[in-house]
Order: sequence, then C-alpha cells, then structure tokens
Amino acid sequence: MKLKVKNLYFGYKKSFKVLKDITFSLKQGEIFTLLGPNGSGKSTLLKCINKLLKPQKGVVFIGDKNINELNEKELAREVSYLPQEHNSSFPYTVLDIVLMGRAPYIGLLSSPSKKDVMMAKKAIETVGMTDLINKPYTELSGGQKKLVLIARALAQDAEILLLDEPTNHLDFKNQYVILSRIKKLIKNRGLSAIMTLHDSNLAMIFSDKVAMLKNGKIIAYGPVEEVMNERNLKELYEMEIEIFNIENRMIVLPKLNTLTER
Amino acid sequence: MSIIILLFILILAAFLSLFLGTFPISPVEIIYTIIGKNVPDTYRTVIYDIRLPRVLFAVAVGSGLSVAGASYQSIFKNPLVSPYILGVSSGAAFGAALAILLHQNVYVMQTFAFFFGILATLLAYFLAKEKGRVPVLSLVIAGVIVNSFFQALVGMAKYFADTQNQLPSIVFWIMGSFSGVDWDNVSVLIVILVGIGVMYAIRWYLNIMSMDDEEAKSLGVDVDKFRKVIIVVSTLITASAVSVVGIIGWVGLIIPHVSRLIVGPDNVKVIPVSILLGGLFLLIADDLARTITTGEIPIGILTSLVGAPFFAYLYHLQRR
Repeated sequence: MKLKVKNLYFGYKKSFKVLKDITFSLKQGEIFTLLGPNGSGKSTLLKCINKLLKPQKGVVFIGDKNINELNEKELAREVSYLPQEHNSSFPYTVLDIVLMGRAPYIGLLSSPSKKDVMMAKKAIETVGMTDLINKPYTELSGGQKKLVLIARALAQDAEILLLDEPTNHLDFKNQYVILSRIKKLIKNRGLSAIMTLHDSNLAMIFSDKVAMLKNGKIIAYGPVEEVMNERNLKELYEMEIEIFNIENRMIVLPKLNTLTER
Repeated sequence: MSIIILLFILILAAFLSLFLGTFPISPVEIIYTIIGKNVPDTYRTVIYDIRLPRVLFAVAVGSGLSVAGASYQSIFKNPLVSPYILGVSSGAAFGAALAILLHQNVYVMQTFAFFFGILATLLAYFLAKEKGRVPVLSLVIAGVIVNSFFQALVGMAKYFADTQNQLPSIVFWIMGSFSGVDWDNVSVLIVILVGIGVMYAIRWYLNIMSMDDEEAKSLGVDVDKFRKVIIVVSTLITASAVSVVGIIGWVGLIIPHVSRLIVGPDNVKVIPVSILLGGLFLLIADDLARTITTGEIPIGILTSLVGAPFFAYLYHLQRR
C-alpha cells in the first residue's frame, strides 16, 4: 500500500465533525477520486493527508511511515499538492514557479542548483510548456496555469499527488486534456494520485477507485465499476440520476424533470 | 551582470561622497588624507570620523530598509508593503519623543527608539497570533492598530512638549537625518549588516513565502517559523536604522519595486539588487541633503520628494 488512511476524524470545532471515520487505501499507480457535494469534506480530507490540517483522531500512513513522524520537507518529498485556487502576487516566470517544487531538496540557506534548474526544465518539458518557460505565470490562461502547477508537482518528485479539483475553471476540452495528461504521467511513472472532482463522468473515465463522501462520511468506496451506480450517486447527490450505456461508454445524467419539481 | 555594475557604481559613489561636505577641504587634500600623507588632524577627523561613518550609514540604512521592505513584500504577498507596516516606525517615534520629553541624552533617545520600535512590532505580532498561527491578514490589521495607537501617543507627546526645544526636536527626529551619526553607533551598523546577510542567505525562500501559506507548506516550508524569522530580522534591521537616523520613508517600498522592474520578481536577484540600489539611493539622497543648502534638509523629506515623482514615472512606464 502506498497510502493508508485509517479511522480519520477532523473538525474545526470539537463538537462539529467535518470528517468522520474515514478509512481507505491507495496502491501504487492508482488514481483515486473523491466525489461529493460542495462542503462534503473532500478538500479537507486532502489537507489532512498533507498535514495542512491536523486530524483529531486517526492516522495517515505513507508506505509504512506515519506522516506525523515526517517533518515538512520529508513529507513534501512524498506528497505533492495541487491547490484548488491559485494565483501569485508577483509575476514569477514559469521556471521560477516550477523551481519552487525543488524546495524539499534545497537547504534553507541555499538557492536552486544547476541540477534543480535542469529538473525543473525537464518537468516543464513533460507538460509541454517549454515555449512559455520565461513567460510570467500571472499572464497564463487557467489551463496553462494548471499545467505549470503539475510541472511543479513533478519537479517535487513525490510519489503521491493530491489534486484538489484539477479541472475547476477549465474549459470543456482542457478538462479532458489535463486529466489525460495527469493519468498518463501517473501510469508511466508509477505514481499515485488522489483527486477531487465534481463531474461524475470525468471520474468514471479517469479514475481506478472512487470514494463517495457525504457529510464527512464515506458512503461508498471501491473500484469505479462497482461504486459508480445509480443508487449510490442518487444517495450522494440527493437527486434522480440515470446512467446510460452508449456504445460501451457509461454516461451519468440527471433526470431533468425531477430537478424542476423542487 | 547588473549586480556587478551596480556594485561598482555604489563603491564609486561612496568614495566620491567623501569629497562632499560643508567643511572646506580640497579634493587633493582629501586624497592626501586617504593615502596617509601628512595633513592637519582636523582633516582626518572630518574624513574618518564625520564623513566616512555618515557614508557607511547611509549605504547600510538604505540597503537594510530595502531588504526589509523586499522581504515584507514577500511574506505579506503584497508588493505595496513597507518595512513600517507592523508599527516599528511609530513605536520608535514614540520612544524618541518620550526620551526628549524626559530630557534624556541622544543615546538614551536612540535606545528608547529602538526598544519601542521592537515593542510595537511585538504587540502587532502577538495581537495577530491565533492558535499558534499568524495569518497575514491578521498581521496587517494588527499593524494598522498598533501604528495608529503609537501615532496617537506621538501626538500626545508633541502636545505636552515645550514648544521652545522639545517640540522641534521631536519633529526633526521624525523627519530623519544622518547628521547625528558617528562611530559610537557602530553596533547598530553591525546589526543592520548581519540582518542583511541573513536575508541574503534565505532569499530564494522568499519566493515560496510569497505564495499562499498552504501552498508554501505543501512545498515543505515551515511557513509560520519562517515568517517569524523574517519578521524578527526585518524588525531588527528597521528598528536599528530608525533609532539612529529617524523615519526615512519610501526607500523600503520603492527600491524593491525598482529592483523587480530591472531583474524580475525572483528574489534571488531582487535581494542583491535591492541591497545595492537601496544603498546607492540613500547615499545620493544624503549627499543632496547635506550639500544643497548650507543647513541640512531632513532626509525623510528628501527621499519622499525624490521618491514620489520617480515612482510615478516608473508606474507610468510600466503601464504604457
């Protein structure tokens, strides 16, 4: 097991739990998607895995190490994180931004070495952004920014990627482009990823495993084929849902007439 | 490349600044003094005990304020922040005013200014602290509170001051001047230089500190600890500078800006360029302050007088 989350509880206040008894695991090479309505605790769960938030109970293991035994730099060598919203107050170049991914390997009193620059450049090449390497990050489009952040995650050289809504603010095509590239990278390099998505169809196409999160609890968890059914989705989103099989592609659609009734 | 050129210009400017001043010595005699020829003792005193410390201080304070400004702009994730945002200047001003009211000598005044500057920043810091974390927004608000509080105290000190001597002293102190600088302040110089050295060493990490806190953490940086270190070092630099030369505006805000315009936002380059440019800027400003008129123009006024139109020009250039 690459990553194991066991009986994890989290709450911003003692009385109110955002996450309740979360348990799941992730193998190498797997893409694991968290589905759930707004406010169900998806991002919170990612942040607990990344030690951005401290769980009240429960443990997170990376390999056989409890993350509480890792310091910031050690953890950052194992786990990289793609934030949901991202901007920069300063017009750093693409290279500057990607170089930041090397921080877990750079001493506090040092600057990136030639080797770090080389690895950053390689990561930029992998996501196909070499032409824009000296362009200010702040002038890029949403899709390009995501690619730069993915390059940074690659430069970070961690085996687990946490992707908080990698498709938000992306146009129809870019959602597929970005997820396809992520999937290819994960499979080619034997990495593992946990991502949050809002689109059930994207989740079906791009993930191996799914967990459905509702009010902080996992209500269904397992391989895509087993979990992504009408009954589970209906319970998750509290709406009537139909799954169609069109030329062997499963497509999730809401029942429109039931929506207007509310 | 621009760093080597700037370094050369700075050294040259510092050397030439030794030739400037009201005491009449000819350039030839100055060179004789420097190379150690037989000259009157007064010449040596003027060059080594009056002009040289003043030149060194102008450079160090300019560099220090610029570095403190650049690092604050990073940790506050905002290019419009000055080193005074957490109240160090207001606190120092009150400290100096208090010492003046209590009829203390200049060294007590500097000590008061230094410690009240630090005190103000500490107040802002602990006001902003919540559950072991120090969010940027809370810091900004705490800075506003502390600044206005100490400004009110300065106002009160002015109100109670006698108008013959104390009030003008307070007013002149706040406007800033290098005229009181001498070798007795060498410890301040050392603190500033060490502070600059620390910032220079961690300059690449300033890039990461300018990102979102969560993002910086996910890159393996202990954000809260790092922010604390940067605030401590910047405050020591700024409080040291302000305690001896008063409040000098604009340098800490404008120089990092200009540096970014020249070399881009990467702090690996911004910090050294800020150090050199800041030193050069304040050196030239002080040269003007002590030569334009027979008296002295307060340096704080001059930096703003030069800084504001220059900044307006840069802003205009940038938007075109």
